[in-house]
Amino acid sequence: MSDPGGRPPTAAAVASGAGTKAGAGPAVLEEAPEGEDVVIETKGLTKVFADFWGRPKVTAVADLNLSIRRGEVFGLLGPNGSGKTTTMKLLLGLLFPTAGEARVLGYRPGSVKATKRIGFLPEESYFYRFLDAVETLDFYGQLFRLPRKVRAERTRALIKLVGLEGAARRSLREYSKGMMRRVGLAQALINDPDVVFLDEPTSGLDPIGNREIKDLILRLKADGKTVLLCSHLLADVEDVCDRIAILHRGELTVTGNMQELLAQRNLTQVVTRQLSDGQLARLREVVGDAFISVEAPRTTLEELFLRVIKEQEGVGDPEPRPAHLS
Amino acid sequence: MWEILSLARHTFRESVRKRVMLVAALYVVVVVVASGLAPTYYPEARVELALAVGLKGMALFGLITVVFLAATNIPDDIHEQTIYSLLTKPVTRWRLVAGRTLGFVLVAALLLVVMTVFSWAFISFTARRYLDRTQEEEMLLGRRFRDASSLQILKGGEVQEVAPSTEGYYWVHGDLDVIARYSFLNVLPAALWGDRIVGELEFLSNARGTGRLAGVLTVSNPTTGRSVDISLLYQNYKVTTFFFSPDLVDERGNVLLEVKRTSTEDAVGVRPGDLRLRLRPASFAWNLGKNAVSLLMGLTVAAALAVMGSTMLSSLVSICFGFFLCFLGNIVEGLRGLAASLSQPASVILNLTPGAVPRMGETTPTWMTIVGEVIRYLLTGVSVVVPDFRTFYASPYLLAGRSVPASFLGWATLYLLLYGGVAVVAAWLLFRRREML
Repeated sequence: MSDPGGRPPTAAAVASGAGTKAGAGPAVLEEAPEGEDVVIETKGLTKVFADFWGRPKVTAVADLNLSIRRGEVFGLLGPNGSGKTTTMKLLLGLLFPTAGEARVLGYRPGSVKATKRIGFLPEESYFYRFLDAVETLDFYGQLFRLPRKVRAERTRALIKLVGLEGAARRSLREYSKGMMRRVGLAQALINDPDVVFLDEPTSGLDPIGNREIKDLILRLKADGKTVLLCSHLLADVEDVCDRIAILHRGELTVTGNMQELLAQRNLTQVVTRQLSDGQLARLREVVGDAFISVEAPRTTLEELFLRVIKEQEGVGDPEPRPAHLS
Repeated sequence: MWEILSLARHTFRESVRKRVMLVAALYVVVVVVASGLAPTYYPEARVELALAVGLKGMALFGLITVVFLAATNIPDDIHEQTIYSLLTKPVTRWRLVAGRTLGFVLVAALLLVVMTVFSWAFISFTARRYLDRTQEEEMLLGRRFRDASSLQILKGGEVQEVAPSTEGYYWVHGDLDVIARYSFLNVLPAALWGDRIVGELEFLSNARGTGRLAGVLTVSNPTTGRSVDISLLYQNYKVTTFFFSPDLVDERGNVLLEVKRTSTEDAVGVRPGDLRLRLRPASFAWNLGKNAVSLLMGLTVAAALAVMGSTMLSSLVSICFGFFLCFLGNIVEGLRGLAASLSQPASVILNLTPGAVPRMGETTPTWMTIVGEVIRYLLTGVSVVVPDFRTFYASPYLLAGRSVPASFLGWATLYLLLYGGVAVVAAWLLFRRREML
């Protein structure tokens, strides 16, 4: 929140607890708890695209104030053309702001000190098609000055991680879109980054690949990495993000903690094993007028799909989980 | 530096995998077909043709390939969005430009090595097939010369202060005791060919009819005074060779050569560089190697210019820009000549206008004068700014059977550092704030 003196919002001025909604202008911001590292920060970040004559044409990002802390998985949401990718490009130094400023790990976006510690998966996985996956990872590893032995080890591990062992020596021109996404993800992790920017990471992936990517994001979070996820696939974001921001026409409209934002505070849900008619009747008596409905929880289509595939492949089936617990 | 080398290696690998070496195969076909099938009237012409096609083709194929690659690479990276994954790595834009340029230099080097090796083999084979040993050496070896340290005009043994003509000639005429003395210092052992020293001269004379003039060249040892007269025929615009014993050279390697006439009617025009001693020649392979090195420098400048254009333009426009600059760089002399001819700009323009023949006393309209001046300054400016690619072409030396001098390579290196450096810095300045949309 801007202070009464009119200063720009401070570094950690972003929602961390209850969800907040903003009308016109930037979202209502909150101070981040003391002691938490802010790794990505924008202050009044604005990007206006001009026409050939330099006249303002489109405001892609308007006065954006964001603060993302270490170890968070932060989702940047919005419809097409809302400014998600532009924001990410501004944070990566691929575009230059018209006004305001951004810091990544405390450095100017695009500076070597910042890029050394970040990984980026672009929206469209365009890589050098004359290389194979191993050569691609080795090349990008060279740009990080990784020693040959380290490059070889990481390449092997990442190829395995993204499930491309069988195709590691095939030219990328023979890869499907999903395989390209996997290579893209591997190259984004070649330097063991502190901050990972993922632009539509699950685009083009089948449900299994989709789930693997989401698991990987959660693993990155467990390892203390910060992830900035940009997507319009809301289910993906819901599954992995701690906090989200919703952009609309370049403006930040909502930001906050995922669980808090999605919680319906006027309802209570109790999940039990299947109840008998008698137990249900007693429950109704206890709850009284507040009782609304009783139904069997549904799993998600993704869970169902994964279970069927695993059964077909003879892999043990995990206990189906209700959607809200998956 | 590490990133630059990684990018250079990547660029090299990219070009090779895109089958850029097919250009070398095309070059082989063109050289073999053009020099093998074209009609010639004497054996030497066949070798001259192979030499000319081989050398010019090398420059042309190298230039086209390098400009095309360098002009399209960065725009393609941007268009195909591969630039995103490069610029989000710890690679500054300066290093990206430098690495890419270095990569194209490596491609050019590989291409030149292949074309040079083929040229050497093909031209040597053609020469052995059509020429005898002496002719082959005369055409292919890189002749090197030692010019005289001084040229003096003497009359009656006394040095005369004579001013040269406007063309630079000192005329030896009148009394028969007027002689031109060339002093050579420290010529041994560089000028020793086996058991003799070989020289050549090309004087201008007043010979009529056959165009030949009888003369005497006196070679003397400046220490002992021992001398030998060599009878020669001077022929205008033709090189006359002579040789003498190394005994006529003193211990310090000095020798005097004096030009005398046989008749008072004769007149001989001499210049300091018109009489020289031949040094041991450079081998054809060595000379061809120096040609490749100088060409590589030229291709480096071409690559840097093309990269400069590519940092701000699309592929197609960048190709046009790169080729246009290189075209201008190849006609710099013509541009300067045209600018000089426009010192009377209005009359030139008037003469170029159909039917507009200037009459005596007619004055040139003011607007024509202004337009002419503008064009003249424009041409002069372009000819100064654009690199003169002739600086990198050693082919005239090879075609004349001369060794490529070290000074040529030195000058080419300086030129490369100047223009290549400026082009790379300009590329970086243009690219550093370019947005990756």
